[in-house]
Amino acid sequence: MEDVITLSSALTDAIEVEGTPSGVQGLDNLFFKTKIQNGKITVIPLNGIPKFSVVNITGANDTGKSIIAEQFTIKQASLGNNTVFVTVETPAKFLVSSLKERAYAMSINPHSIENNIFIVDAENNDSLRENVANLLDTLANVIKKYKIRNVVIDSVTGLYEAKEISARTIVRKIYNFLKKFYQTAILVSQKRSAHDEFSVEGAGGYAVPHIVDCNIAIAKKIIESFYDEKLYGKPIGEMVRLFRIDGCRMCGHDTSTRILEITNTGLVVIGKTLSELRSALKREKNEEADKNESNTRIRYTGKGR
Amino acid sequence: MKVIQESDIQERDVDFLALRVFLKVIEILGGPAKIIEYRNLTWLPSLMVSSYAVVLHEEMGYGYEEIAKFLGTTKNTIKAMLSASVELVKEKLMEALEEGEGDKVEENKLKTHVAGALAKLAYKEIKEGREELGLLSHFVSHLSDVYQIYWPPIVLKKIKGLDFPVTKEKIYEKLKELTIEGFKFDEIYRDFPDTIHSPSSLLKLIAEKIKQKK
Repeated sequence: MEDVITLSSALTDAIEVEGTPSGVQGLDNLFFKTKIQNGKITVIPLNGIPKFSVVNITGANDTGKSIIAEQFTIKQASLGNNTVFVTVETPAKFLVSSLKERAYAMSINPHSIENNIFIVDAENNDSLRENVANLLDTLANVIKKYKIRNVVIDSVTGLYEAKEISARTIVRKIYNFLKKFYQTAILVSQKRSAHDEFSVEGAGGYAVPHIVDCNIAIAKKIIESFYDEKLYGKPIGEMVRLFRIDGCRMCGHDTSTRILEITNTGLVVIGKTLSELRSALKREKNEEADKNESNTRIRYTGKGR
Repeated sequence: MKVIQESDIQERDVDFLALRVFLKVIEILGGPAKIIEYRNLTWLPSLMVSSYAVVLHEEMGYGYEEIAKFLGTTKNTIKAMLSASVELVKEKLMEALEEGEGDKVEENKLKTHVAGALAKLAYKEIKEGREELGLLSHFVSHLSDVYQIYWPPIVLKKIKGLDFPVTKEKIYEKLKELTIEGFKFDEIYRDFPDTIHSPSSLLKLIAEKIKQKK
């Protein structure tokens, strides 16, 4: 391979940026690309996460990372795109049950997608979990044999358990591998550091976010004040989940912090931005103030009579 | 949903790769006879350790500490092996070997970083397809018997001593007298690229040309 290439040849070989559905309501319209149409710059939603990108989803426990990974797997399988799910945390048989439940919640018959999902059980196999080379050789074999289009790893953190110093090396190898095989990938990583939830370090830690194409950070927030209560519409002591796309080098993306909800059927939905919530709260307050003012006026007029 | 079974799981053979690296190091040093001649057989344990260290690091992604634990040595030894400058060591060592002073290299003691640099160099050579020629010839010779194609071991025998990557003219010098499956080498080599990177790529090129001609 040539080390130096001209821009013209690079443009010829460049991949067109397009989206591939994530299966998560509210997420697909947060990525977009720009085009020049009739001399004007136009922003076009991708309607999915960028194809061939490696997306790192990070957050503390119970933030919905694995659910997003499962929703993506089911959606892609329902579109006929073969997807391999590397499970590092949960044994395969439990993952299968979870995927089935998730499929029903998404109104997809699990039997219609069972030939499109392949599971690599690294939780149950030390040689895959401890040696990234073995895992990648196995994935290469599976990708070629079953014509795989997407790879999900839940979680990459499990691949460098107790050897965090190797995190970058391991993730770099995985990233290069996924790029070589033109895979769209979701990597789940657990946030364990004391870094701020929404900082770059929060997005996986150990400089992992700098390697991948796109980072999604999810954080938990406890309702602690009356203001929070009103803003989030939940009582004090309850928890809300916040979602943010923490950089994506493949395309343009929404940069706001949003509410992430897990529905009672166990699906992740990306909701309104915090500024939308604040505007709504402000509007509500103004309306209340207007109402109070008019009530006072009525009362005053009444007294006058 | 298909759970991938044992038969689809690939496990890298670290042992065999480390052995291939070790054999390549010996080849770089001039072969077993040269090592004996220079009374440097004591180098072999260090070279085996460094070959293993490079393979564990490059192939399995092991860190210094893990490798040290696996090989029963210290983290600093492994660090010295894996951070050695290949170019610097190659230059010094090759100079000494070419001048026939292999016995004077580091007063007969193989320093850790030199062992590491040699293993790194050997690993790179193997990754670029330049396997230790004796090992390659051995396998090719066996396969020749199985498939009853007898020219590959002859080609390998004739190119022994060439330092790959090599120009096609140098290959021609060594093989010009050969007739392969009824075709003179003169007819086969014309469309070869100017540089041939490894013995195995040479065998592949010859096989392709013969196929085209048939």
